[in-house]
Amino acid sequence: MNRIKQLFKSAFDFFYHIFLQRQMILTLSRRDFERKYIKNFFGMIWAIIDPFAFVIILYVVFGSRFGNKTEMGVPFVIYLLCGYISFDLFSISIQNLTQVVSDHSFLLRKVNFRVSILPIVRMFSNLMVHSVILLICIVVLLFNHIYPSVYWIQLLYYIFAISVFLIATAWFTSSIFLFFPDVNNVVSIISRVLFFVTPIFWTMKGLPPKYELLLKLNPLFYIVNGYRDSLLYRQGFWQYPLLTLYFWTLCLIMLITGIIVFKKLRPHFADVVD
Amino acid sequence: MSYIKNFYSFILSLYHQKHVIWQLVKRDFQNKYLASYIGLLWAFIQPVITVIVMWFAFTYGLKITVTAYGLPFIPWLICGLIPWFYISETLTDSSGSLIEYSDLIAKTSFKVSIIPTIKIFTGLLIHIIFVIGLAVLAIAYGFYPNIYWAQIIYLMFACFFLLTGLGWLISSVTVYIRDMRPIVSIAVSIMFWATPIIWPYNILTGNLKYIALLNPFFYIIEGYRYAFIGKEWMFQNVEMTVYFWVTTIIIFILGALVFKKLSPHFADAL
Repeated sequence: MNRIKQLFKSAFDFFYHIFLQRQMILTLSRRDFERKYIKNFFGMIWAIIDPFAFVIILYVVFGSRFGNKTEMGVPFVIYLLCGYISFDLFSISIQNLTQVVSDHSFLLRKVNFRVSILPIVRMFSNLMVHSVILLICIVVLLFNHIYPSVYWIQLLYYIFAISVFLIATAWFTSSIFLFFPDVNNVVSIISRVLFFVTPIFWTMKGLPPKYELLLKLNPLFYIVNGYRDSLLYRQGFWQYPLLTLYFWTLCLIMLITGIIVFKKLRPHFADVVD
Repeated sequence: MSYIKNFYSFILSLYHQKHVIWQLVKRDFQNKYLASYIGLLWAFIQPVITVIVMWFAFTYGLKITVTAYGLPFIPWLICGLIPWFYISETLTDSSGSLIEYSDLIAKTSFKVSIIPTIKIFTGLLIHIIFVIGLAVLAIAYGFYPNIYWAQIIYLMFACFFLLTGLGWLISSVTVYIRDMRPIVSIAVSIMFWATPIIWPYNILTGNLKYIALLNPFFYIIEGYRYAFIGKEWMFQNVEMTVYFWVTTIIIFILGALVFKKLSPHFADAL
């Protein structure tokens, strides 16, 4: 009992300190964004064009497979786009959040700097790019006569959900990365696997039931489906109580693991990077 | 004429330095695969996992089981992926090869032009194991060994030339433009999706057919399919063969020229 109490207290401490640093997080996010995207104009343009170019390629290649609308209710390219942009946020973030601590190694020796805020900082800067992508996506939707509904607001919930999941994962991966750079490869292969096992360029219709359950264990399924539900199908997240519960339980587990591992390894950060 | 002579002397120098090359390949292999805990295992896990998830997505997600040629999809897919893994890995690796081996460049007696080829040989060691795996898979699907399998050697040889030319070009430019590495990996992933590797060539109709030509390696990838499951000689496609060799020779000469122009300044730039 005492141990659990302690755990809660230290978790609370962890978040409280992050809360205290909110001004710092905003300043650093702006700096990170400027450094990565404003100063590197090509990087910015690429980050925005990349998902759209990829959607077009996928559409050309697999479009013939889904020529008729009946299977998904909207044109295949729209289905693809709304799902892929959420995956794009995930795959970019999971890669660059893993490296965020090692990118800021010069800050590790500063005593009063809370390294734990770095994944949050990077996430904010990724979200800025994502919002531009989302804006373009919305313009595409309007051109295809898909008009705003109140469900579009629900996107904020899914963006929040994926951010929490990514930050929790990043506390875990970014601290391990300093000791085992191989983590980078593991993360990239996981992201590649998730691209294929999440219904991004295919649909769940007609899938054997035993696979269906297995696929829903993938946390990205919740997010990709959520993006489509919000933008296209006008469904609320409360319509999937079990899936929602599962997703947040997974987030909680990731958070606890992330915080424990991060706190354990934090004292040794400065020793491994220089 | 001088190109042919240069080319001949390059091949000759490869032969003369075979011991040096073997030593370097061995060292490179150790650095790449045996240095970390899961290095060598990783070289196999990564492609195998990729193949499995692609298989899943295509058969259950897209519900493709037979390609338009009437060939079973899985061996068809894997025949294309195995050479592509080798090609893409070698391209990204050779891009940074001169920077990685900068200590060798200062040595006067050492022929710098063999450095990018080291990466081609290192990758080949792993690739051969995969080709054996591919042969086993082909047999499991009922495609028994036949004379057409022999053209794999021709294809590896062709691939070697193309990779050498590109390796010279990319690696020497990377010395001056360090951003080349991410550009190469982006270009590789664009080629993977935008040209017919995991999707059949006959999706492209009319003028779109020329898209396949954007990827010079398309010839080699199709070749692996011809060899293992298609039962046809690659040279029967005269147009494709001519196009491939013309492109390869142009890239080879271009690579050699650029490398030659830039190599005297490598030591300064590094």
